[in-house]
Order: sequence, then C-alpha cells, then structure tokens
Amino acid sequence: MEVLLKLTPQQWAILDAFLVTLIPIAIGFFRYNQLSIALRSVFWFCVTGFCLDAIGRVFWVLSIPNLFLGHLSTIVEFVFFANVYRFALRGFVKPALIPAIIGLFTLLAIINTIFLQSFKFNNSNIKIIEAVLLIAFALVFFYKLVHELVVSRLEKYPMFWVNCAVIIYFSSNLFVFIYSNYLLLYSKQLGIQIWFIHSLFFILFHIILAFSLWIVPRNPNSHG
Amino acid sequence: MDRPTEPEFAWLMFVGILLMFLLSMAVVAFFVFYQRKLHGQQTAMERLKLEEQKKLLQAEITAQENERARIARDLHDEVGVLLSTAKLYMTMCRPLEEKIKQLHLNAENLLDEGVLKLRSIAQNLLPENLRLFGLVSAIERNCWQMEEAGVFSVQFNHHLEKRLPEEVEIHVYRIVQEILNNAIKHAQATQIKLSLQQQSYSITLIYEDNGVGFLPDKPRKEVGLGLTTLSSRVQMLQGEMLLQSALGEGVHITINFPIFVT
Repeated sequence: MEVLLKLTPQQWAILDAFLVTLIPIAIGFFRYNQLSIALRSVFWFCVTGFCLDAIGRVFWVLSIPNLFLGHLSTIVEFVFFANVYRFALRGFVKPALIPAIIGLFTLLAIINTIFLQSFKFNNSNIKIIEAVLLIAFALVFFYKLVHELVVSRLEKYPMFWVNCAVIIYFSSNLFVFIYSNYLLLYSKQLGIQIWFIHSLFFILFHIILAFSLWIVPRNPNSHG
Repeated sequence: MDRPTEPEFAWLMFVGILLMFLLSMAVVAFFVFYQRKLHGQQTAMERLKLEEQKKLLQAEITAQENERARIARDLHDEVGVLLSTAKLYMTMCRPLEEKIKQLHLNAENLLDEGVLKLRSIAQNLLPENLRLFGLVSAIERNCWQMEEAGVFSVQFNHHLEKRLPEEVEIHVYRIVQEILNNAIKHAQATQIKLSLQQQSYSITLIYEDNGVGFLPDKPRKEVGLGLTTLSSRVQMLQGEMLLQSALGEGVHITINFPIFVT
C-alpha cells in the first residue's frame, strides 16, 4: 500500500481514470430496457472493462504482474465493439463478415501472446490491429449513414456518438499503442506523461459513450 | 540507426497524438457537414416532388370538375332533350292496334326511366341543387338522402350569410360528399354532426361521428386516396384541415378556409 502514498497527481489521474466508466454503467443500468442491441453491447463493454481495470489496479497495488489483463481486455474490447458494429451495420455488410473478423482477431491475439509479445510486454501489435479495424468499422458506419440518409438529427442519434467516441479514442491513441513497448526504453516520467494523455482520451471516450446512452429515445425505433 | 533522444521521441509522440486527434475531429466534422448537406438536398428534393404531386393532383381535380360539368351539361341539354322529344312523339302516335299497345306502353315506360336515370347521373356529376340553390341546400339534400336510406341520423347546422363563389361551393360540396362517403364505407356510425359556419373572413366546416374511428398516423396507402384528395381540395381553398381520431373514438374533422371579401 506504500506505493499509493508515493504517487504523483498525474499517476493518481492515470490510476483513477477507470472510475469514469461508472457513469455509462449507471446510465446504461437505468435505461437498459430502452437500449438497442448495439448499445447494450456498449453497456456490457463498460461493465467488463470496469471489472478488468479494477482487478488490474488491485494487482498493481499488490505488486502482482497485471499485463496479462491488458491482453485479455484488448480481446474483450474488440469483441464488444465489433459486436456493436455487427448490429449497427446489419444489412450493409455481409452478415458473416464481422463474426469472421472477430474470430480471426481473437486467433491473432492468442498467437501474438504465445509467439510474439508475451504477458511481460504490452500487446502493441494487437492493439494496433484493433484500433485500425475499429476505425475502419466506424468509417464504414459513417458511410452507411451518408448512403442511407435516414437520420435527420445526428446529435440525437446515439450510434453517431458511439461512432465519434470510437474514431476519436482509437485514432488519438494509435501512436500510444504503436510505441507502448518502445516507451519503456525512455524515462518513467515520459511514460507517465504519455499514459496521462491516454487517460484523458479514455475519460473523453467514456463520457461520450455515457452521453450516447443518455440520449437514447424512449421509443427504441425512433431515429431522433 | 540510433534511436531518437528522449526530447525527440517526446516531441514525436505529442505531435503524433495531437495530429491524430485533430485528424479524427476533422473526419467527424467533415462527415457531419457532408451528411447535413446531403440531407438538406434530399429534403429539398422531396419537398419539390411533393409540391409537384400536389399540383398534379389539383390540376387533375380541376380537370375532373370541368369534365363532370361538361358531361352533365351535355346529358341535360342534348341527350335529355332527345329523350323528351322521343317521349313526346310516342305520346302523339297513339297505337291503333291492341297488339302493339302494350309494346308502345313499355317503350314509354323505358323512356321515362331513361329520363329519370339521366337526371340522376347529371345530378351526381353536377348537382342542380348546388347550382340553383347553393351549398346549404345541396348538403341538406345529401343528408336527407342518407337519413332516408336509414344509414345514420345526420344533424346539419349551418350559418352562411350569402352564397359562395361557384368554385368554392363545388370544392366544399365535394369535401362533404367525400367525408360522408367515407362514413358510409368505414365509420359504422349511428350519428353524424355536420356544421358549416361563417365567421367574418373564414368558413369552418366541422364533422363528427360516433363510429369506430381509425389511426390517422397509419401509412397513407392504408388510409386511402380519399384523404389525399380531401387534403388537396382543402389546399385549393387555401385552408387547413385538422383530423382527430382513435380506434373506438369516432372521427372529428375541422376544416377552416378563408373567404376573400371583394
């Protein structure tokens, strides 16, 4: 527990950032019946993410290696968000495409952990693939919205905000994912600064997700 | 190749993150702008298409009225006269032989029936009552016919200071005709209240029934062409129509249109 007393404010921010996940969880919990299948997937992503992050923090405090949780959370994160797009892009891409990508991604993640980046390292390879795939899904979803033109007020359409959150979070953090292992070669102070910036994007990401769950219309068929 | 120094690496990271963040924001902003632009164009096109359809429908209604009036006139003035003349000749040539007396009578009866049918068709095409005695009289006649047929009881209240322009009278009469026809076909009502009231610069037509009602939000195809024609006629009068109904709660229609005092 002594380790907690030595933390700088930036380190505290990095450590506590995951608590922001409680906002979308609380909103999603109270509005669960009104959520579409895609948004329920967002809600369950938040719940699972919160649990994994909480366990990771406990391990860190107890000085138990916790990088394996990062490997696991990458797969969980991708599966939930790919699932969001599986429903959001229904009728626009082949039904088997996204489940196939999920399967392939999970296989790659396992191979990467076994042969390339063990639990002693950040799984940067897989994080990059995840970010690129989710950005691609988000762009396809934007294309779908432009192509169909059925949503008249984007600001009231929850999936638009989920999409914005995905694009902003994964694009902004792409450099962090690419250099997360390389970063270990430099000073701890630089690492803290970079992960602090990552935490800010993490908070922004979850606030936007919370907002998207908040604006869900009472009638789930409405497009707003 | 040597790895970059810490300041160089830090600079690369911060600038990279910032650029990616700005790029993602730019993508979102571009999408929002582009989507709004396309949506605006689509809405404008739909509005234009709708306007065009309205114009077409209104032109069709006008053409239909003109055609009805022409056919009614032709029937009355030409075919009616021919039949009446034929009847007159038949009356003049009294048959001498008993054998053809019955045939002669049959022919006279057929001619009488023909004249009656012709009047009825002409009446439907362009009600003589409407032309001669005005809107109130024509609507009263319609209501009376419905009560006579035992369909339902109709209560008609009216207050019109003077006759309206012929075109307006025809449109209002057709609106009432359409509403009453719909009531016969779908309402299953026992009581109907109809009111036609003139205010200073406008006329209000109110229809109420105690029938089964319907869901006005249903897709237009299901509601039928009748309501589309109705709303087109109301638009031709530069008026407004408010339709309220729910299942089991009857139908309430209020139509208000201006009258231009010259």
